Amino acid sequence: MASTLVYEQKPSMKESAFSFDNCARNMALEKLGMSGPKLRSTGTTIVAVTYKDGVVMGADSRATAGNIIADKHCEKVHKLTESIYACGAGTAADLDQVTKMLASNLQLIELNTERKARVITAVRRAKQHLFRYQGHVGAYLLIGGVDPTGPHLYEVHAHGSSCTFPFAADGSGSYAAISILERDFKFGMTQEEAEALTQRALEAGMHGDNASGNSFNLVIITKEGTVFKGPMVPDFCVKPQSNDIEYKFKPGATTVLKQKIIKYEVVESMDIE
Amino acid sequence: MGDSHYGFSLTTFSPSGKLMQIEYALNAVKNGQPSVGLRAKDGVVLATENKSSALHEDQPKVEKISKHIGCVYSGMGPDYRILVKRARKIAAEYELMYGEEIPTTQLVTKLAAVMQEYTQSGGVRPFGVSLLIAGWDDEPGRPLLFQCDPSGAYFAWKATALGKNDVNAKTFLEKRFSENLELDDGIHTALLTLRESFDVGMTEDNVEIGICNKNGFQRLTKQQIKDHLGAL
Repeated sequence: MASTLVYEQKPSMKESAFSFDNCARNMALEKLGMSGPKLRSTGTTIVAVTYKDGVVMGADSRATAGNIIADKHCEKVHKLTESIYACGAGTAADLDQVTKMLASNLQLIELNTERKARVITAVRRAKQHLFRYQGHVGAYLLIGGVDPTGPHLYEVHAHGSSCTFPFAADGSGSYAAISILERDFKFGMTQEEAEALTQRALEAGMHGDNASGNSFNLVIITKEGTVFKGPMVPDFCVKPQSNDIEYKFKPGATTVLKQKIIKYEVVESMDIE
Repeated sequence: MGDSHYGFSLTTFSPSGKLMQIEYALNAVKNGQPSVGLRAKDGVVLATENKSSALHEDQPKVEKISKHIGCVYSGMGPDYRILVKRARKIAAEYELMYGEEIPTTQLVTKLAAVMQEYTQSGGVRPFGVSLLIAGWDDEPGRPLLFQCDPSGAYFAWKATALGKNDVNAKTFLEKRFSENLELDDGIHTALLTLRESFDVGMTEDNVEIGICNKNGFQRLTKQQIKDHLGAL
């Protein structure tokens, strides 16, 4: 009477390992001179700073596809749990799905263990997922939050590596942002100082990097709760107001050089109302 | 040939058309600790006896499945825990796929399908629990109460009781239930019903209550239960 139980089918990674066939084909095509489809990337500035009581995280909101701005108000600060957030740089679709998956997993963990999920748990799950896909899932995350062991901040890269920092920046605008952070960060800042520093670092990235800009979002996570601020538009990102001028010319302003009059005979007329 | 002669195999019908293993599973439920569910106007109450000795550490019976759904059981505890884990996974997968919380009826049908699987497969036995599932659906905003049986059958209830003394408890509920009950009155009525099946005194240490309303599902704290018991 041996028969197998039918479990609910779900798109599961366990059923088949990632098939790298298409990657080999793509590389061969590129060698022949064909360029692949432009991935919509979140060429980004993301910044996170830990301070005395918690973590401040922020991101700009521009999503680019090559040289075009594909989305002016893209949401790059993703909620994983009430007190753990992830800022993402890399391929927009990969980030959306990875953060959704992490959020779902962490919710299950919280329900089953009856405890608040820890930042390190989110980091481990992210790493293990990304390593399995050998970097093909283009997700570069800053995972930060507050858990029963205190405030934490980690950086996770698409190939599956991670490190922990007191402050971090990622994305194409990170070069500009990190310079601000390296100069101005100090341990034991207040919430206002940390917020101001994050904002300055983000603005540096949005100013100097053309793949970042438009507006930014901030999230401030503490033991007491999480505050979401945004979207905030820095001065240099404000759309200029249109300036309407009159283009009327006085009669006689233009000299008449030649005049030709052609008389037409009306043969047939009809109403076109 | 009596029905019991067909009781050894789950997947063999008896001449009267019953699957005796499922009947026996229902007996396991009937002999379990009593539990009560009641649907009020603005929420659902789940209550159960959780008798433990002074040496026991607390082990909750009322469990949260998702933000707006919770459950309790009568029957075999270990079977219940497996179903709770399964239910949580079903709810999480639905949310991942559709981007919104699973409606209570959907969770109940999927969970009942899981329980039915175990009545039609080889080498397994049915779950020895009946579940009471309480949920709040946001659109339209209304409370729901369901029962899931070992056979995979599910029923929507206004109020019901499971476990020991369930027949008397249901009669008691029939007399006491009204459509206009608010959640607090519902808790009151549920506790009175539960008390009918108690042979010792009811205290906050041997009773568990869970409520489900528009703010979600939550277990009452020991202090809150003590306050409600005081008002009885």
